[in-house]
Amino acid sequence: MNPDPNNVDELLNSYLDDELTPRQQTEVQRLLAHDNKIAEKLEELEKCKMLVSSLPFEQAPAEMAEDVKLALERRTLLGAEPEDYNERKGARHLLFRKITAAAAMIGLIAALGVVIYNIVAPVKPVGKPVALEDSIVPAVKVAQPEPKPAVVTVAKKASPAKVAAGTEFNGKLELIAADVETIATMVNKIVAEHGLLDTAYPADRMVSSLSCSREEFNLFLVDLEFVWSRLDFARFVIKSDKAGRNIIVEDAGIEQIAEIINQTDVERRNKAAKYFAILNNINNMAAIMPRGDMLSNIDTDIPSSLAIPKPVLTSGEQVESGKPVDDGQFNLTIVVIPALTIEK
Amino acid sequence: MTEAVNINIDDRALTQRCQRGDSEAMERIIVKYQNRIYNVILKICGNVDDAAELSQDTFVKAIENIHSFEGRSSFYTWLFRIAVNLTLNFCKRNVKLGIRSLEADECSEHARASLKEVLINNDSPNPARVAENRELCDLIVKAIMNLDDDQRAVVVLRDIEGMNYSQIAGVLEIELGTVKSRLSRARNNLREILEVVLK
Repeated sequence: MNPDPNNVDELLNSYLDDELTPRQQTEVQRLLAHDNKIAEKLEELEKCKMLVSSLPFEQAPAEMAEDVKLALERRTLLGAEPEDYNERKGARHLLFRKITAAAAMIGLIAALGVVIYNIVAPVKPVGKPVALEDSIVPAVKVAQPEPKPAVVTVAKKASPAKVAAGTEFNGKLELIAADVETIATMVNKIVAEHGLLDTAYPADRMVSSLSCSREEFNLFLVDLEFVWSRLDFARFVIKSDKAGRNIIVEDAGIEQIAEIINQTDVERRNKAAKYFAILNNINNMAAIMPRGDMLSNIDTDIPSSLAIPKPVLTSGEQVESGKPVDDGQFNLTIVVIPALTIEK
Repeated sequence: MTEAVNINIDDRALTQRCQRGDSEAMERIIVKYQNRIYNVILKICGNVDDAAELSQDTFVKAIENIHSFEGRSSFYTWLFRIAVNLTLNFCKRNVKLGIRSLEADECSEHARASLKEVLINNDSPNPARVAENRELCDLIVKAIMNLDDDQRAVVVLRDIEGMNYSQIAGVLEIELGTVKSRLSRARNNLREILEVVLK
């Protein structure tokens, strides 16, 4: 078997350069002894090697060392930096650009995410829904096909300073009756007995203006209950603190009015007023529905699953029951109105 | 062997002094290696002016980067690596620009006769006589210049600088087997080029 010519050439060159192990040298010598062609090849390679090796050794220019020193000084003066330093500087610059680009991309994605979130995300309620206190839930309940909580949304929580200053109550009580003169007389009498009358108005309009404390107002309401049986209905208007808007409770009962004014602060008072306004409206709607289906369901012993749910507040605050903690001024205007002049 | 070890120890001391900024040590390194570096570069690039400039660049680069020399290879290998890399890069640029133009058959009759005598004569040629024959030397240089850059570098490092295969592998940063195969191909090609000159 003939050996690979390339391997033979490499072996011969290594033999010439004395790069073989003793065993390889012996092997090459045996090849040379038995193969004239390989011996001739070795001789040719040796001549080539000798020719190259015979080239004269050239001397470097005499001023080489001086030139190198001058070049180094020149580069130092010009502030030239080593190539590897420039490479490192370039690599750092490249890294900085990559990081900057990545940061810009992340910033863009974040900004885009915020924009998309603002478009897509649902509007959350201001706070956790809270049920109103049990004390203001009336005994009368109206059945609903699907009992869902009636939600009264309070737009904005009053600031503490506003609550403190807003303990004052301003409202109007409209008493609608066919016999206005009798009602007016009764009301004026009760007002006079309690010493609450500020200003007397002409009898044809029947307006009284009261200004008193909470306790006096409660006592006044106790006596005023006697009048309720002679009324067609009563409308209780609470002047809300918010932008001068009023809360109107149609068909207001004397207990409802007492419940409203005895809340601990303005905010809770408004909540209670809104609750009764909704409740009374539902009752009025039920009364005018065909066949009186809903009226038949107005009962105190209906199953709890059919009962009208308690209104809940989304402000996240609990309605406190108990004695009011503050005692502001209670201003009430009482107007007696003939039944025919007003639409219920 | 003992001499080589002494050279390495000397190099280590000089490089340490250079790393501390000793300008005298730098000058000693330049003086010590300038001829060998210049000779190798000249045989690879084939032009004395380019060789001088490349040699200068080699020492400037070596001294500027002496702090990065960690002694994993010998200083001798490290210095020649810089020189050969600079030279090969220079040659590649010049090939791209079409600057290099050497024809092996551009030689005088006297040179051809001398070469024929060396190659055909059964007797071993006398290196001294070859070195004295300027035209023959030019012919050999031209033949070397017709090799590929990589093959030329291996031949020069082995047959002119006298490096062993391991040192060549270290300078060119290639495997030992690659050195063997590259050197084998280079010598075969060189022989063919010279035979063509004789025809």
